[in-house]
Order: sequence, then structure tokens, then C-alpha cells
Amino acid sequence: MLISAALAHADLLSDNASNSTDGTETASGDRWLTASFGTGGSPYKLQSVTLLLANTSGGVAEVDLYTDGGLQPESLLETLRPPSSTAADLTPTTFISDNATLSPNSTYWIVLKADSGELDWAWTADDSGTGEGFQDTWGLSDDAGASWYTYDVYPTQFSVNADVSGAPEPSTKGLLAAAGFLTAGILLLRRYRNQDGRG
Amino acid sequence: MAEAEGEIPTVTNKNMDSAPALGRREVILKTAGVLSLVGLGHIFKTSALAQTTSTITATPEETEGPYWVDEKLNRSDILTDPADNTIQQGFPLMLGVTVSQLANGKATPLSGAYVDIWHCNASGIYSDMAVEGTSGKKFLRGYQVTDAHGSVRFLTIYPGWYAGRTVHIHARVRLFSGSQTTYDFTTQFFFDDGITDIVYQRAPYSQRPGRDTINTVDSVYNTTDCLNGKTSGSELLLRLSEDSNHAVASFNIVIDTSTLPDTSCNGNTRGAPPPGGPPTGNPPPQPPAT
Repeated sequence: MLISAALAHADLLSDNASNSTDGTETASGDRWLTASFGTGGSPYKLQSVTLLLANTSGGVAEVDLYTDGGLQPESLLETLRPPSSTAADLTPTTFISDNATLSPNSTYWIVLKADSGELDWAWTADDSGTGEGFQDTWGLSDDAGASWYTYDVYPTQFSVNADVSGAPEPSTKGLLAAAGFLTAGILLLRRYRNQDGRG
Repeated sequence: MAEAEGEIPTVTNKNMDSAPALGRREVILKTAGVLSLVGLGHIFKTSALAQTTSTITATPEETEGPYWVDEKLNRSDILTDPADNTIQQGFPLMLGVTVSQLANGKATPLSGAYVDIWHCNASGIYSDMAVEGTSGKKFLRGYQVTDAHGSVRFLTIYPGWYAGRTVHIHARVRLFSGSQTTYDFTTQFFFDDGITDIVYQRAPYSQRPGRDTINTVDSVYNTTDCLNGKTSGSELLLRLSEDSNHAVASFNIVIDTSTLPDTSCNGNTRGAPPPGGPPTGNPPPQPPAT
């Protein structure tokens, strides 16, 4: 139980969705939107991403996970599973990951595309957020991701849920080592007491 | 410092609760105690880190220099010379600029601001300058008007260099009421010298070696920000990245429109000429065409 607790627990990696909304950016056609988040010292398994979206024109939203290309998205990692519907008003809208692996100390990009119609993504003038991976960077592309313009203030609003999991990180290895020493000590103590009782 | 440009925001831990007891068995409690002793207790609790915004101050004003021309070119792609449709060659640079209004210590997006940028080409030449032999050319100049998000964007190239100056881009922010200019702010953006060295290894920059001035010895970069005593250039560094295809950069210009730009400090001295002598005959600033 101890080990499993150390290897996996849900974490809100990045979140500014509850900030006050000050406007929206529109994704449509070749106009894609993006925002970044990071990881701390641990590997993660991505669970879901929730964007504050409005679907005012019957659009079809696609949300993708990209690697970092240095202040811009680079390579597609995963297309997240969309919800069955998206609301016309600004609503937290969750897209599910198939447990994409997130490496420690890395930046990733969420990319919003409108497969049809338009989607509005809320942004906030409040640059604060929670989660160790929060970054206040957003951006847009007018040519379907061939080139990006990114900005580091007034980010779009979203949250990222992920599990700490995968290969033990250094701190987890330390935990396991500590647990091992403790267990060995207890076993030695019991053996000593048993021998003492027999003698 | 200009908000968040190249600055790592403060990160504070808002949840320092102790690790919860995990069970009644002594072995578990002892384990938790050991873990706490070795600094691993945080694994047992949900962490909540908050990023807070650092103190926001207005962006330093810098001289507009001698190469300003109010071309009134409303365009995002400034590579093309509208006079002959030639395109400037160089390493592509995607520049995103946000304009923020500072009030009561808080910055908010400023819409409707006219943002001009201008800079030299890969050979260190400015357009529309008689002394440069480019009269009538209009490459690498243009303006955009900020949207509700306070943002504009420009497709340009990484600037070249010329004697006596480090690599830079000029920027001007103006507000208008009708044809009346109600606010006029100029500054310059600077580039990380390490990235410039990488970019300059590529053509056409590599055909013109011998850059003589880097940030640390540039007279404009090393002016002092009157508001905080810092080196202005360090506050005017672009957030910058490059790969094999292009560079991406951004900057957030923070202005306080409740006061006039501080021209008594280092700003807006309207053009101390660089070595080689100043050009002449620049038209006075005019409101953009509506």
C-alpha cells in the first residue's frame, strides 16, 4: 500500500480555470490556440485537460498534447478524447488522455483546434495559477501550427490533471530504501526476540 | 521590471500541512516518521503550489534613435518592401508583443494601442534612410493595433548589426484620440547574445562577421532605469528561443498612461546618432491613417 501510494496519486498539475475571465480567443480553421504547462521533478501520467470553452457556432473541438519546441509547440504526442458535447456558454470542458507519459522537468503544450466551426477559449488578466506546472504562456498560429506567436501574460484558462507514476524518481527511490531498511530492522528485531524467548 | 519578461515568477507553497497518519500500525507510523525525517513526507499529501505575480513596474523608455519614420504601414508581416515587393532575407522571427496598462500596481491588457516596430535588415541597413541609400524603401517597418487581449504580432527577421550598437528592435506605442496623439512611448528590445551568436552563424548573417558591440557594452542597453536603478537593457530582453527554422520572441510592454513617459531619464531623446552620422530629413510623427 505504501509503495503504491508513493508511485501513483492524482495531482492538479496546473490550474487557472477559476480566475475571473476577461475575454476569449477564437480557434477556427487554420487558427489554432495553445497554452503551456510544465512538470516538476516527477514523471506523470496525464489524465485529463479541462479548458474553459464556449462553442457558439456548432464547432467541433480537438485538443492535442504537444512537446515543447522552445516557446512553442513542436511534435504531436496525443489527441485527447473530446466530450460528447460542448456548451454554447463558457463552460469547463474536459478532454481525456490515454495516460500519456509526461517526463519530469519538461514543458508541454495544449493545442486547441476547431475541426469545424469556431471555439472560444477564455483568457484571464490574472497571471496567477496553482499547481507546480502552471505557466502563464499562451499563443496562436494562423497557419495551422506551421508558425506560432506566443505571449507570457494573460493566459488562456485551463487545468491539467495527472498522476504521479511510472519509474521511481530519485525521491521515491529514497522512500523505498527507507521502507526497506525499516522492514529489515523490524524483521531482525522479531528474530532476536524469538531467539531470546527460546533461550 | 517589465512584467515577466525573462523573469521567473515567484513560486510559493500554499500547502505545508504535515503528512497525515496513514494507519494505526506502529510500523506504518514509524515509516511515516522516517520519511518525514528524510524529507519525503510531501509524497503523502496533495501539493498545491501557487505562482504569484512579481512586482510590476513600467517598461523603461529608450531613445527612438535616428531611424524612426512614421510610414503608417498597418501590417503584421513587415518583411516586404511595398515599393517593389522585394522580401528581406534572414532568419525568420515571430515576435509577439503585449501592451499592458499599469494602474494601482496592477497590469491589465490595453486595447487600441498602436504598436510600431522598426529595425535594420540582416546587413545592418534601415529602410527609407538617405544616408543608408534606402530612400523610399519601407522594409522592416510596420504597426499593429492591440486587440482586447492587448496583443499584436509581427513576422520579421532577426536583425543584423551595425557599428556601435548591439542587436535591437525599436518599438513605439501610441494612443490617439481622433488625430491627437495622447500618449507616445518608445523603447528598444534586446536579444540574448548567446542566441544571437547562434543565429549569426547562419547565412546571410555569417557573410558579415565582426559584430563589434554586445549588450554589456552597448550605450543604450546600459542606461539606468530611473524607477528601480536596474540596467534598462536587462529589463528589455526579449523572451527568446530559436530552432533550426526560426526564432520566437515575446515582450510585454507595460505603460502607465496616467503619467507622461519619463523623457528626463534615458528615454525618448530623439536620436543620439550612431557612429557614421545621423540621417536627416525624417518627417515628424503623424497619427496613423484611420
